[in-house]
Amino acid sequence: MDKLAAIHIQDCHFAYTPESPILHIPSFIVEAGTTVFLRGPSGSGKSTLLQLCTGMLIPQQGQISILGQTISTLSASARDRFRATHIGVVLQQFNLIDYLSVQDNIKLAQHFAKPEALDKHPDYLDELLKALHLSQNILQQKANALSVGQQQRVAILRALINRPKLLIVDEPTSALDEAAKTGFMEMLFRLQHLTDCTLLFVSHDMRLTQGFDQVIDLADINHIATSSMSTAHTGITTAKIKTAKGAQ
Amino acid sequence: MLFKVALESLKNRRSSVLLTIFALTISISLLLTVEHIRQQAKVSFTRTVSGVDLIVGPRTGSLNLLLFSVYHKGSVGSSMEYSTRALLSQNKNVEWTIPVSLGDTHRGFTVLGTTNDFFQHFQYGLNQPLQIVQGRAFAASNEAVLGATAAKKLGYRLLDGIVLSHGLGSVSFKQHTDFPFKVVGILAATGTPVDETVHIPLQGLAAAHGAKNHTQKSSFTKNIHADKHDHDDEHGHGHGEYHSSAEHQFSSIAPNPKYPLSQISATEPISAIHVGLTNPVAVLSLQQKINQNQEIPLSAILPGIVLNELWQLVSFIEHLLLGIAWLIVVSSCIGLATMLLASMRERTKEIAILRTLGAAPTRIFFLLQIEALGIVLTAILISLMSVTGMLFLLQNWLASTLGLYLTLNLFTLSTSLILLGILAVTCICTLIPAIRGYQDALTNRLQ
Repeated sequence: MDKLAAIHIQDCHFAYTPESPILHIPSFIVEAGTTVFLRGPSGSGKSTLLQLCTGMLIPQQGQISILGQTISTLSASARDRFRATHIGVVLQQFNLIDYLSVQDNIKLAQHFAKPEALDKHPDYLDELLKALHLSQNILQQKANALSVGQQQRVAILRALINRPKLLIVDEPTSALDEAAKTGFMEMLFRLQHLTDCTLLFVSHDMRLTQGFDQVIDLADINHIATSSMSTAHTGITTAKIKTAKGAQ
Repeated sequence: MLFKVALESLKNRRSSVLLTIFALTISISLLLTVEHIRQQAKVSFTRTVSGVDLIVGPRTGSLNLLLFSVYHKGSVGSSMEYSTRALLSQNKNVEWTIPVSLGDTHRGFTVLGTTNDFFQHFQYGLNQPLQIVQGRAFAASNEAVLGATAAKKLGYRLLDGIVLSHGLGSVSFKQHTDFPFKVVGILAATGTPVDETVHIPLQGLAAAHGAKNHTQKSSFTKNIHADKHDHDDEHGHGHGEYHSSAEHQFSSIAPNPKYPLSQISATEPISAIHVGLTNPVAVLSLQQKINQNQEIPLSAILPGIVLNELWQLVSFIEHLLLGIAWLIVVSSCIGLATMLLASMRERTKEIAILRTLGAAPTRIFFLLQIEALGIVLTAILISLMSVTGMLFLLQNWLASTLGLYLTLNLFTLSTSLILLGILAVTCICTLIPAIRGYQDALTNRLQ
């Protein structure tokens, strides 16, 4: 079953500082090829979980396997390489480097991946462009010349360029208006279907849950975080208040 | 790809990058110039005279005598009699002597009165003899042999006539028009003050100074006045009898029989004598003997030793200048590091993106180093071009006013080492922003 799971987290503990733990996830499994909506308000440990899944952070305890690879035991550089090759990431904002052209932004993603993993199929890029309603000549434009909607679509394109098995999308629609949101979600599902990847979609906006195989609330899988006690900072504050109360 | 990102990133911040390049260019140019002039000045000074064991002149400071007799700078107040030469020649260790007499100019170029011994024995660089590339040495007293630069700058060719001026200024109101000279030879370029010199025979110098100074005026002045009329048609005359001159192998140009290289009067004043010895070991004892001579007040110097003394004097300033130049370069590099560090704030986003795409923190470190090195390499390139251009423009001026003969080639071992040093300083200064970038990359959050 391990081999089949795109994400398999077992008894994972994480804290930036020992006194304020952020995450304790006894078990979290995302089956390969499925689409999962993970609900998590900002500050619920969501970003930390995503960084754990992409190998940018490693848990103090427990095991995280991505696509059958236990990344929490890989070396730092192997984790970076693994992320570049197998995981596509789209964030709420700041996905593209402003001063590079769209083409260079895409090339950058290919640059850090394993060379043998690169998609040699010449039509793949065109296919992606078409699916995202982007024209060919957008490739030459600088990223900062694009509209927000275009930037998010290019971000999706770039995330998929290495044909990742796992696509992690974090609040990609928060900067978009209602009409654009619907269009964006449609494209996302079409591309997920096209590339046959696992989609982990993180948002606090429950209106977007339609069409997902599974909807999970982060609060249900994380035994520490609640929406009220969120970041490390507020965690400390709450802890202090508690002790203050205790002292009284 | 990393290079492309670095380049685009620099282009994106072009105004601060250009300012930094500008500051670096100024400081690197300064350092290169100081180093180049320092090296070249030393080379140019030490290569000026070679093979001369001793320079003998009237009693004066050794530095003064060297500067005057070799570099034609400054002045020796008094002069000595020509008879001193004979006195020196009597010493069994003396192989040859070259009398030199200075004090006149021709259109800003030093006029050096001497004998054909000068062309035979004087050496520069690593014992390179002088070479007459066109024409020949002196065969008559109204003849002149020009240094390469003098000939080129004044546009003189063989058989052109020249008139001397009295005194060492480029503008002189007193012209020795009575006794014009004729160019009979042009020397190969040496990169020494010889290039800037007009050489004439001592007999000619005496004649040009004419009756006023010398008891010996009689024959020469008479000759001059007599021959003024047929000065123009002298080219055609071929008089074989003047082949008594040692240099007659050059004699495609016939000497004028009316100006013989006659015996030089013993009282003819000369400025200095270059002495070559058969036995160089005897140099110290001979020097002592000359310096302690009670009858004639003379100074004898060893050119090599005085040159060293000169450099000891200069080296303090030289090192000071070099030190200051290095400090300026280091401060510019710190400025570069500051610029990069200041840019880190706005670049956290960029670093986060690179991290998300799978760039290792070391890549971020190298990205910053590449940017810094790119800036410095650009500054180095601009500096090399501007310093070369500046040297090209100032070359002639430096040679004629300061006697500094500079090559345009900046690529010596020590400049290369300096350039490597600059790159090393850059890498060290950039460590601060690069490590900062590395840490940012390690702790970066997705949002």
